Amino acid sequence: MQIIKDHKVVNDQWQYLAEKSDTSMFPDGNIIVTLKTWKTAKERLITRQSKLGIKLNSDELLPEIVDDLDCFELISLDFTPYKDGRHFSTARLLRERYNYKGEIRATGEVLRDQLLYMQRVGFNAFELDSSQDLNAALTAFDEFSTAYQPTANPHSPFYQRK
Amino acid sequence: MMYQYDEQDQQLLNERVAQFREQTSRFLNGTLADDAYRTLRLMNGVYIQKLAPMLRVAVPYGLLSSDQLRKIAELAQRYDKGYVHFTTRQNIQFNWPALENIPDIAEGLATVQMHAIQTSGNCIRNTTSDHYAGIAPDEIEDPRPYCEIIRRWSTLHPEFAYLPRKFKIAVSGATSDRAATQLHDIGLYIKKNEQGDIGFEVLVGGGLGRTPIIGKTIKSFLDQYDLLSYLEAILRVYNQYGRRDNMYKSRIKILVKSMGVEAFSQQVEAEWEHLKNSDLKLDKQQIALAKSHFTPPAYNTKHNAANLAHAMANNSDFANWVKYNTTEHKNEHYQAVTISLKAPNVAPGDITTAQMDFVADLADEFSFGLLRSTHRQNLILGDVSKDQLHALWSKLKEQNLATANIGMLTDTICCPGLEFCSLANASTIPLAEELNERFNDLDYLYDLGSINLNISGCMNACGHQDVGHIGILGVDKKGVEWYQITLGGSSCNEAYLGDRLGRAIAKNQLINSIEQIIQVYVAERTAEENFLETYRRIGITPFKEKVYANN
Repeated sequence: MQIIKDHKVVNDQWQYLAEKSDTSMFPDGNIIVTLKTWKTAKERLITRQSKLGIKLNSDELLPEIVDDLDCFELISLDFTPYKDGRHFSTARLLRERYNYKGEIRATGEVLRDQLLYMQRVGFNAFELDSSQDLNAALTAFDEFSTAYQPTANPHSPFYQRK
Repeated sequence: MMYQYDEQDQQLLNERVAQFREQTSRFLNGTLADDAYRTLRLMNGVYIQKLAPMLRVAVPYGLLSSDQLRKIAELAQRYDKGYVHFTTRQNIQFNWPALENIPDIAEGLATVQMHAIQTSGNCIRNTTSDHYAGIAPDEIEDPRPYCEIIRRWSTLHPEFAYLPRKFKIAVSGATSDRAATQLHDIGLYIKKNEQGDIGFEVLVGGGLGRTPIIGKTIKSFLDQYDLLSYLEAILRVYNQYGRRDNMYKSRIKILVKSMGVEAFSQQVEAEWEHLKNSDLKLDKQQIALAKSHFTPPAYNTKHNAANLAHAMANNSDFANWVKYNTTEHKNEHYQAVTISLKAPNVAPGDITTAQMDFVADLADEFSFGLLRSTHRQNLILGDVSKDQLHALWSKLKEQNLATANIGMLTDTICCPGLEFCSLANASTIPLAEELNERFNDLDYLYDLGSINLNISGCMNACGHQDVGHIGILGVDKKGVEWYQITLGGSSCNEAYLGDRLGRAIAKNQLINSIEQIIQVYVAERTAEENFLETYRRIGITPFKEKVYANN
């Protein structure tokens, strides 16, 4: 599958691990686990050799994982439905308060027309549904050249830059 | 005088117009799904109504220049039916634009620094304020510079574009609240503390609609420099914890109610701890810069009081107009003039293109080229020399804009109702017309004194019926229009939600019922009492007995 990452269309290097009752074995390679899997199999997950990511559903908020951020090289935040904007706050908190440097990925019903706001609050990777032309969607990042708010990206609004 | 866009404000706006044009064309060619486009168009002020789209244009904190009004007139002539509607949030609605023309309208608006951004949708809406901001004698501090600071912060805020529900902020800078501040998601009262520092009393969780609630104070004094960081903290708590499973329970008022004010404000404080020293902290320079856009105009330093008194003595129509449609100004040589958009046979708040052009010229001639829109759906020329009141009145009469009924029973707040709005259960404008016919004697209205009658066609309460001295709410009973009456509401400092009179009244009986309510007031009042005071003293029972006596 292809995704948008750091303004480029790239092949996804990660796979989501569906929630399962047996958590004694995990596959090799970069996996993204659910919050429930993380909670039940923390010990085994952190001793794996390959990279670990976590996915939060739209109703799973940052306090659930805030003490474990060092364990994740990727945090995938779900927008289902797309109108559920809770994770706009999650991404900002990750970048600005917790100084999280890993990948923050938007998944679920991600609209092309949300990409710029998502980038501005700190997302750097985006999964769009397969019907969308990813290369065409890249133009969404350039729709605005300036902003009023100090957020992760760009950090200072223009009226403070003067 | 008023905020002027700089290059980057303009650039941002132009880019927004281009973005919406592109989104609309993707929708029209079928590559942008219905539901997604719905959300995007709402954030650009576009509703799809019964008969046509409706476009709601922002009037930031109710301040409008004559050139902006002329542009609105031009666009209404070209793309609409030659009139627009002023709303209860100081905004302007086009009722009949074609969807494919809306990007062109937006482009036209952008040429005069206007837009329809965030006038709808689940985002931070246009900030509203006192329509006498900057000129009111009881003002502590002009709220407009702070409104402007909030405008920038809230415009295209990337974190708060997909909130649980719409979000409205009002700012009042005077001792008398004219902005219905307690009925907003966030209400801000400007205060001066004992050290003389400026700050805000912060209220949250007020609002009308299905569950009307008066806002609660969560901070009694917030330093002015902390304004944006504190707003951001409130919004962040709401964005994360407001309900999203039921649209009728997703306003911040429901969150505050379910958590309790204490717990909610503690959570805001905890969030604010992290934010108060961030880049959102305002500094002296930023506030001074914002204030520099709202300096007073070059006022005359005298007027001829004898001439004005003479003109009033010679013409009782003019004298009544001065008494009811003009208001005391900070500067003793000036008055603020309200232009009534409540003439008989006109839908409340509506204004034609000819009237707009005319009023824009009057603003240039009499009031430094500026206008204000009010939440009671009228227009104000804020800075009229007392020497020119008579000349202005004479001209207003020519265009049916001098109806001297401000604050009277026929100065109704009225939503567009069943004829226009797809949410409405019942019609409203015909009722306002009928009311005007029944109460067409101005002297009788003056004798009744100040009565706010507010009408909404459904419980979304765009017509603010819950805070009307007399409130009328349209309800649908098996396809028939009925109306529920409330009494005693107020949106002022002593905000109060009206009490329900009793069961709903049939449409053909409604104006009779209002007349009966007025009769009870006239019979019971003491010499100095207005309607609300009489109601507070005698309670609802005498009104109930009279209205329901025969059935």
